[in-house]
Amino acid sequence: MNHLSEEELVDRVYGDGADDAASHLDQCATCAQAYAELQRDVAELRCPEPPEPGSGYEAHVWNAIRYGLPAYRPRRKLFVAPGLASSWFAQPLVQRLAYAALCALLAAGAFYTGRHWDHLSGKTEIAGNKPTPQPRQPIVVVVLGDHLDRSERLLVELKHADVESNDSIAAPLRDEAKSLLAANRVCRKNAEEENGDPALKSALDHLDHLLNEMANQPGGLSADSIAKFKQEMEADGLLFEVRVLRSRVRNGHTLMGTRNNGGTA
Amino acid sequence: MVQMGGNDQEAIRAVLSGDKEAYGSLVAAHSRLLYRVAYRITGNEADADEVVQDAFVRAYRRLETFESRANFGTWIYRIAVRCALDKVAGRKGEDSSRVAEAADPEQDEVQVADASAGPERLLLSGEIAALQQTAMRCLTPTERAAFVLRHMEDRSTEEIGEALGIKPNAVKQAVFRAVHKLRRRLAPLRVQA
Repeated sequence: MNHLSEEELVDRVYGDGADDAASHLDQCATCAQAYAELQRDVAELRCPEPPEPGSGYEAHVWNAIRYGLPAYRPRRKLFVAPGLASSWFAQPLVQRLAYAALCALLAAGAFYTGRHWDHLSGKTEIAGNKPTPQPRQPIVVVVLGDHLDRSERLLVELKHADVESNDSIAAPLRDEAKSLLAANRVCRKNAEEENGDPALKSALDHLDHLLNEMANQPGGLSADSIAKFKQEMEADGLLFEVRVLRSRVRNGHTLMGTRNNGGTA
Repeated sequence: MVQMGGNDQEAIRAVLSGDKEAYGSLVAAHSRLLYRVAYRITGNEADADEVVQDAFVRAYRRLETFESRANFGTWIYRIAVRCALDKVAGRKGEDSSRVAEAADPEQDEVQVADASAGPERLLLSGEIAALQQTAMRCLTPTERAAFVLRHMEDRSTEEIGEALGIKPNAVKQAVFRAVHKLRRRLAPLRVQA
């Protein structure tokens, strides 16, 4: 008699086993014992339950990502004469075929005219030879501008933060850093994907490093850690960098990219 | 899987029509569930939180590809599992060095206390939990995710396969390897108890 393999027994424990495995277990004491041991061991595998997130967890997630999400642009609907769509299938077949033939005739006419026009004007261009300039993506620029505004405000607050005399500012600073961190990640990703401005990528990298440290500082922000962050910020010239970029974005000189992908950055 | 109300569909339509704020209701409806599975796969709160945010951002970017007849909860759950898998895979090198320190099962055996008395029993259960956590880290990201989804989230083999992008047979093998490794690593505790 062939005994069941450990793999078959594991399948059986999770309810995926074949029926003949069940009948084998009824007849074979060795396999039945191995199965019982496996069941006991698997039942003992208990990992700690995830801690219940706080009551404002949903708002925390939403606030962390909302500023990095560009709004979709509403899709344009083709104009359809009132009642035409609903009445189409109600029309007789001959009439529908006549409409279809008329459309085909118009399309063929347009095609022929287009070809003829190209020959006459002699300006035929091979598709793909000349890249058509894409319109800038204003939504992404607006999102980036907003992100840089918020980052600048945080950096200014950090610069003037005096935790020793007022410790109530540490928690809001950390929360804002957490919120900006996610938005910054989205902007960085956009900048990388769009092969954008190198100065922008560099500033976002610096910002990411600082925000990450601020957001994940064990035990919260203390006077010492804030002093350290100030020093890092000043050494990198980060505030200046962000201000320059912000003014460039405002004046339309900095781009994350020029691809127009319908609002999904 | 997760139930989807008409509210999700309405919110998706609103988002695609340009109302970004409508996405907040989808975040509110699904973030806790995603947090739970993300925590189980990544094993810590910070990573789980990051996975949830990544999943919602990824889903937002691909919302136009989401089929209106599908279930948004199921869809975002799969995205979150993929994000969690990426997160665990990304830190695999870091974890393996920590696991290597306690790789010898004999060493684990020495650390276990006698289970006879009350306080020691508590200590033992703490040690079991700690050792289970260590044992989980020795699994590959796919084994870990497949095991968590099968054993703790009670998902079917087919659902896991779709979430992880692998075939049902590969899911079964991943679960088997995970159980095998965990049993082997926790065997010394059974001898003591």
